[in-house]
Amino acid sequence: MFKSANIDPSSVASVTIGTTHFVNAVITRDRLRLDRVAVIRLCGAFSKHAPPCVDWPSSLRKIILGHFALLKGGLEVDGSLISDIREAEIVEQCAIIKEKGIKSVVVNGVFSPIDTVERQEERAAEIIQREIPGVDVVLSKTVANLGFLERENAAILNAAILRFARKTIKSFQSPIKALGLKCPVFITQNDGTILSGDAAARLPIRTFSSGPTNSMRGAAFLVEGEKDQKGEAMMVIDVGGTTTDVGLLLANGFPRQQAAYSELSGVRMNFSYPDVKSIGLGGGSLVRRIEGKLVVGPESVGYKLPEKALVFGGNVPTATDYTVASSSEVKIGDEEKLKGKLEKQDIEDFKTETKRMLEKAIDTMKTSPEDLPVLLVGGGAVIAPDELKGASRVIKPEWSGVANAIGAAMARVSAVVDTVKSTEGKTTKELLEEISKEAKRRTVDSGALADSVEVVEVEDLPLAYIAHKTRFIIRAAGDFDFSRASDFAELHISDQEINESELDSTENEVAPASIEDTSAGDDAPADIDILSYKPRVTDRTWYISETDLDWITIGCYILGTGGGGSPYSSMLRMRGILRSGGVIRVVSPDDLKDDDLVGCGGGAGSPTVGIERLAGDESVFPHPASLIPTNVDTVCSKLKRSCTSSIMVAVQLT
Amino acid sequence: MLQAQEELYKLYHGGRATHMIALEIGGSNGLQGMIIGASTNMNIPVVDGDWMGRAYPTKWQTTPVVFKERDLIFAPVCVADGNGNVLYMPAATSDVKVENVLRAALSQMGSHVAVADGPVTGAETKRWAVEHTISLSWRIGREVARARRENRIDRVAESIIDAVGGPETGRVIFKGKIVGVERTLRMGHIYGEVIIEGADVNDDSNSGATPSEFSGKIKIPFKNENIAAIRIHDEEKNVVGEEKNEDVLAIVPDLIAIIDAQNGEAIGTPEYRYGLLVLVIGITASERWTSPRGIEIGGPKGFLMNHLEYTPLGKFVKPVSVIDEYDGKV
Repeated sequence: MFKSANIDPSSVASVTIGTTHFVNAVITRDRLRLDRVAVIRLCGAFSKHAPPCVDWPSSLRKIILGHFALLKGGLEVDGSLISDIREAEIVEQCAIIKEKGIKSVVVNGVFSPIDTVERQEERAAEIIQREIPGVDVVLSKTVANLGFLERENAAILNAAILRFARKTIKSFQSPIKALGLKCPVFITQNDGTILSGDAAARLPIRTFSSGPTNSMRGAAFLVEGEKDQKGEAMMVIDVGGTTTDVGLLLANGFPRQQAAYSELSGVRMNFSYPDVKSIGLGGGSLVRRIEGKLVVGPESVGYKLPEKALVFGGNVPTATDYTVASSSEVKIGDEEKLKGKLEKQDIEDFKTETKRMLEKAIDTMKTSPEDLPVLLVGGGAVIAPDELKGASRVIKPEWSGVANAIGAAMARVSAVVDTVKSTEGKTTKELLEEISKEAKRRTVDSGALADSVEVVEVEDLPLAYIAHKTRFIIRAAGDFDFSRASDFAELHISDQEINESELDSTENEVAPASIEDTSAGDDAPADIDILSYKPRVTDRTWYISETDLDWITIGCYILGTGGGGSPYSSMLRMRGILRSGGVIRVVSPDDLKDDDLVGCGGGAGSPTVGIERLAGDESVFPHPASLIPTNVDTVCSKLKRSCTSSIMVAVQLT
Repeated sequence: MLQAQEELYKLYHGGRATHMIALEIGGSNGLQGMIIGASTNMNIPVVDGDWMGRAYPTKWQTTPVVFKERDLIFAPVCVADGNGNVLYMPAATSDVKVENVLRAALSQMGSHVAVADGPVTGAETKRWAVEHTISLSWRIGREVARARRENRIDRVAESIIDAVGGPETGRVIFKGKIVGVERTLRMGHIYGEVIIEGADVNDDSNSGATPSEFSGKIKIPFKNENIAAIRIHDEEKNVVGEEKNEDVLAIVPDLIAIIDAQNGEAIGTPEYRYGLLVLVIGITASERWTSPRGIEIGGPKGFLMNHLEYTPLGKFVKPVSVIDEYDGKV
């Protein structure tokens, strides 16, 4: 590249890398790159109804969750103790984790993001590191904020990918040195800002979606010159070798973000994330007939295209080969090599199938029924047709093959200030201004151009347990000042990592099937026809189904007018009841008899507690004498037969 | 949840419940009635209704207290914190007293407890309950799911309004971006306010390409739940207690919901975060709340906002029961 561009390597100011390595490992459920993880919760009696990974697709849970334990510990919302941690308990779990050969541990404490005094997660981590030498411990509080399950999910994914991320980032170094470049390496993160290499090696989860973000930002840059495309939202389709990412680019040049809660490959997390749909279609996708039907992808020859594809003299028919055969304009490889190898009917079917796949992806990502411009970028963009349903026009910009790299190069620098301040004497607003200033200053220190810096993230968490203290987290971002690049060249990853087993040995094979999309997959309820769906109501009794539950959950939170607490963990519990054969009946108030007795129950308190200290009422029973060690099945059958007070005792055990 | 129920019926001798009802349909509690009543738990049916038709921060802000046919509704009561602590209060001087005692206990019980209330009769339930609210949440959820499926998320606010009874009862109050959040915790409640700046949420505000449908800023003060949506003016100081009636876009007991513009899900007060694009929707309160006594308890005064008055957003439309609509149709 440097030869063709005639650039002196010493004039390169920095190298910014956007990578999809980490996220691909999750999406493809790659056992070789995802480590098994043990989860230690510091939660006391709470959260039993929602064990770790409870809401994950089961295929991913099986690969990653190696062990979990619910141990003493955790804080109340006011910072008082649910209970202190117990060293002996943790040591005991460490022995099991060691025995199972797990090298990655997540510690998640109830209300740990406000724990600045007890330092429970930190203390637990010290014990674990002492007991299992060489283990990686991820503290949930370093990964995300309040929201117990979502924070834990992010921490678990982070832990699963940690070793692979460290190795990958380290490996970026050598080719850069070999090129004679002496400059810092940055990794782009989800929101289009950059992380230093060593920060990314600790928090790879933050970089998971940098690939699509970069492509979209780069695409925005590429069409900037064309006047009529400004101030208009566009669909960006990034066709790579194995997958195609589809996302909505807003008029301001940034991708549309997912909601307050985001989902990656079926895992729910609580930080924002570009809303991108990935499908298994790319230039290297295998094309073949399965049971008479022409299938494109999701298996792919990936980066081995230049040797495996037919046009390059290989023996695997790929999407690229079919594109070359179907178009007189596309010139890739040697067209002659295709002669006599592809059927005419197959070429037609290939065109129809590719078009269908892309149109379906566009349709899912649209936020309104109107057509909108579609921008095709990425190395594999040639395989896409020039006309697509849902597109007001299809644009293939010049240099579209490197949109991703352009996006990475124009990524911004950011810095975070995470601090506890007294709100006595100063208002929160004054403090926010002060800390924002500090965050901006640090952003400049980390390499940003002063006048481009702005605040991009603000969080404040009142610490009710210390009078008038609040934890503030503020992040600012700005454009990189290339004139100061040499200050940031060193990467601190310990050398022991280099000696680890060669992870990349599998790359010579055909890339594994990439799961068709990022939805919950195997655990998602089947698609139902919303308009024709009828709830089951017989003899004026409504039997709640999972679909009913999904809808009621959405409605309840809206009717909560901000309060009432998130129904998510209750929904998981109720879904568990339905899936294990439980029956939930609803009757109309109009049908009540005058002498019926209507009991009432619910939770009371601060809704913040509801997203952090999850229910656990069955686990502790105040009268040990009434704890009857009964077979659960017997209890359940008893429950169905009668409704006497003895049931209530049994309920504690189910 | 179950522990509180179990302890209640051990000590309470007025008979076991034959049915369950949710305390409040709003939020997590909207599902609790169904969890407690499930065949694997108490195995009794749940009534399609609740005591609030929304969510409120205190137990005395409920329709049985509005009707006040009895001096005391919410005792006996039993609370459990899930950590081994249980409290039973067989009698009290008033429902406000029950609330105050429970609040005091709450701060010692981790700011969140399970509560079990002594049962009321079927006849009382018929008179007091806000009716068909499980049906109502089902209808709202169905419209949100449909808007997502049909790629109409940019019109999801309008879909929700259709589900609650149309434009005469509900309205889009504001669309914009969260630009400020303040929260403090006192006696187990989160108090605070969120500031939203007008923006075209389906695209981006800062591009300046299209003028937004909603401009300026509003603030939404909350005590666990959103209390009001009030326009604020940049040139004036935003002082709590000096808001003017003419700036009020909606106020309790009407419902004020903040919706995530990206997917139509509600965003709760603990989740308000800088930068989120949101829709603010107002829904007229149930007629169970709009009597003078109802407004006294559930209106501005119930939140110590004596300087503001309740003006209804629209006309209440009673939700259609799913049971009435679908009985025997499958």
